[in-house]
Amino acid sequence: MGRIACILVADFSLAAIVRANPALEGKPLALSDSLAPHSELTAASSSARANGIRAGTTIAQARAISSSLIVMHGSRAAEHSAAAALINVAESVSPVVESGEPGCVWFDLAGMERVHGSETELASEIVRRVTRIGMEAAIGIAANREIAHLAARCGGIRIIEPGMEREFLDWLPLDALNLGASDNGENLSATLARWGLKRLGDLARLDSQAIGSRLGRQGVELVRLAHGGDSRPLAARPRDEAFIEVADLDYGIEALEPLGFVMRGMLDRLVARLSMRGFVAGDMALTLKLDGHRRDDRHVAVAAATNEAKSLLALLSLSLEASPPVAAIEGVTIAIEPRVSRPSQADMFAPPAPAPDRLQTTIARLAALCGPDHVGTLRPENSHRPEAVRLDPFNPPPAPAAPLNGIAAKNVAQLVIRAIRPAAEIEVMCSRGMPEYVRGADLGGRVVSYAGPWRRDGEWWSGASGFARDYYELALDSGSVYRIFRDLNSERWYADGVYD
Amino acid sequence: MDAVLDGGIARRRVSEIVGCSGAGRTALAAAFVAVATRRGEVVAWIDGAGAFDPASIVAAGVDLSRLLWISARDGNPLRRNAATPFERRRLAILKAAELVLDAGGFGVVVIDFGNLKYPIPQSAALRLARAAGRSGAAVIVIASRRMCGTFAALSLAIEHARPLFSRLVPGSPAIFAGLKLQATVTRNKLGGIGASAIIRAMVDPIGRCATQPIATVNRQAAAGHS
Repeated sequence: MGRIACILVADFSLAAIVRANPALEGKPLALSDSLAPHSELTAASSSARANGIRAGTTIAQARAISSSLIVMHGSRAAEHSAAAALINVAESVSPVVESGEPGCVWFDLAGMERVHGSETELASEIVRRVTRIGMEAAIGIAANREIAHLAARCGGIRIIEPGMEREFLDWLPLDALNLGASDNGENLSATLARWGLKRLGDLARLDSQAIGSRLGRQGVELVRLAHGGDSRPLAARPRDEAFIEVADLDYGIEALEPLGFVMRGMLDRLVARLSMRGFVAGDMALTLKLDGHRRDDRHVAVAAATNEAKSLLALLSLSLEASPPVAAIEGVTIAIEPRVSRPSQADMFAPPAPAPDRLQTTIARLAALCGPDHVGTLRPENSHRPEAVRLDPFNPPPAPAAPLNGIAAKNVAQLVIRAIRPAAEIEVMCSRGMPEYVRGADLGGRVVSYAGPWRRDGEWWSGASGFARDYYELALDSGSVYRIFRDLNSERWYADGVYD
Repeated sequence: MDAVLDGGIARRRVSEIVGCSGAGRTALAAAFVAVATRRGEVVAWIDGAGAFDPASIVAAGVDLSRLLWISARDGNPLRRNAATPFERRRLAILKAAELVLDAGGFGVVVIDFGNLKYPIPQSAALRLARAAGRSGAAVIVIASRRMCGTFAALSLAIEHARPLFSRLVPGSPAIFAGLKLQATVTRNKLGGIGASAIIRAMVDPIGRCATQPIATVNRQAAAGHS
């Protein structure tokens, strides 16, 4: 017999709102389709219910009961994100997952005891994971979907051991079932109460045909449920590899700083979802819903995959600082591309190297600190321009089997150039075509010796005029040797490096 | 240099290479990095001056695939209003160094302060020295003056003696060959203060082949440098 677990979040629409706004936790909160005083509440939180506020109460009545009541619109975006997060929790445990009504997810537990230990330990772990994504859930584990769902409806962790299903169903009060109206429009729970039935076991003792003739299809279903009959197997859904968080803002945000707080919360939740699935965050897509039905879509590259929300936030902030949105922001969507973090073992006989995961995290932090285009492997570009460079991701190769010590045998150091970027324009005074004095922003002096000119030209084939330069090496009286060039197109002098 | 430094620069310590721009300090740091990368170590180069030139660093023997380049010249872009540009750059350099050293596994970490005029605060130097001790990396600081004060284990003062120009034959174009520089140990916690060495830092002749001399231009080199 299979084992099915059900994760159930009570008052899901409220839980989704609280997940998106953790400051609302524990406060009397209610949802309504309209904020007009005569509108009826569609849901009320437990603290609001403790004050006597129920769904169906008008807002005016509810405020008369509790002046501190917070009434909000339901947020479809928050519910969508919360539902996806709940599915991520189930997918972090089992490959076979089926989502039901909002806030309800089933998953197959076949073979899971080898990975997660006993069902009690597994259920406790799931509760912890749901808490990590910002919600509270009840867990039910039983032989089939319906019984697991009913067990979860009882609250907390309820595990129905194999063979104990009938006993549980006999005990289960009919009030715990969310009974609606029958086919002929009767209120089912009222009808059953009128018949004197209080528990599901009472229903199991009745004839199903007679119940069917009186209550229709739903009555038959109830009797089948009361007998603990087999239900259909779980319909596994394809695993969702998109990690998206959506936030609808109550009012437009114009400054970037408050937006940072919103995005930080979203990133925290996304990172929790990713880490539960064993992923790390790759490139991000940020979509801003702007005032006036406009959108701002941007792709934010992540130099090194990381699960540090702070670094990811810094990258998003850098993108927004570079090109701020043109209007007030009314909604934010962050989608993260998941990447797999593969553990690797260092070679005992090779020189020490940074652990891959720590290196990725460090590069992500450095990219957040200095900018994503300031960290990596800087290489000379395949170009005729000496200043042309390109930036590649930093992926150090494995250490060679035998160290190369050829360079150590050379008894001279190789002189390198300290680049001046961009090349600084200078003034060069020449005598009979030879540089005599140099003057610039950070250099100046008499030329005591020089070499050159050395002609470099290129890119004339690309359609534009290309570049043509005469390079010189000038030793000044200060002792420094500069590399300068004369741009033959503009007849201007520039210093682009100093030998150091 | 190995003889002067009694085996080289120390791991887990901060070593300073101090001199004015053009003195040859970057060449010396690149030489240490080249040896480390050829040994298979991973190194980091924190470029606080935006002066990193990959072509000449490759010519110095550095394996760029093992070198993590971090440009902190512009400082932390998100703290644009937090401090002066120099202060912002200094903060970014120190923070980047801490991040790299905390990651561990780097054999050499070069911190190029460029021409920052003021030393870093003692507290920052202490943190840098402790981070170097924890990580096991040899930290090389390139600066125009001593930056880490008493927390630097080694301080090498570089002075360029003279530039070297050469001619293949008399009357032929002058070619810049390199620098002859003097390195003096001005501070060493392991002993050997005052020792000095003359180093020739030469230009890569292969890289020079990319440019062609123009024979029609009259060239003249100052007396004594050809």
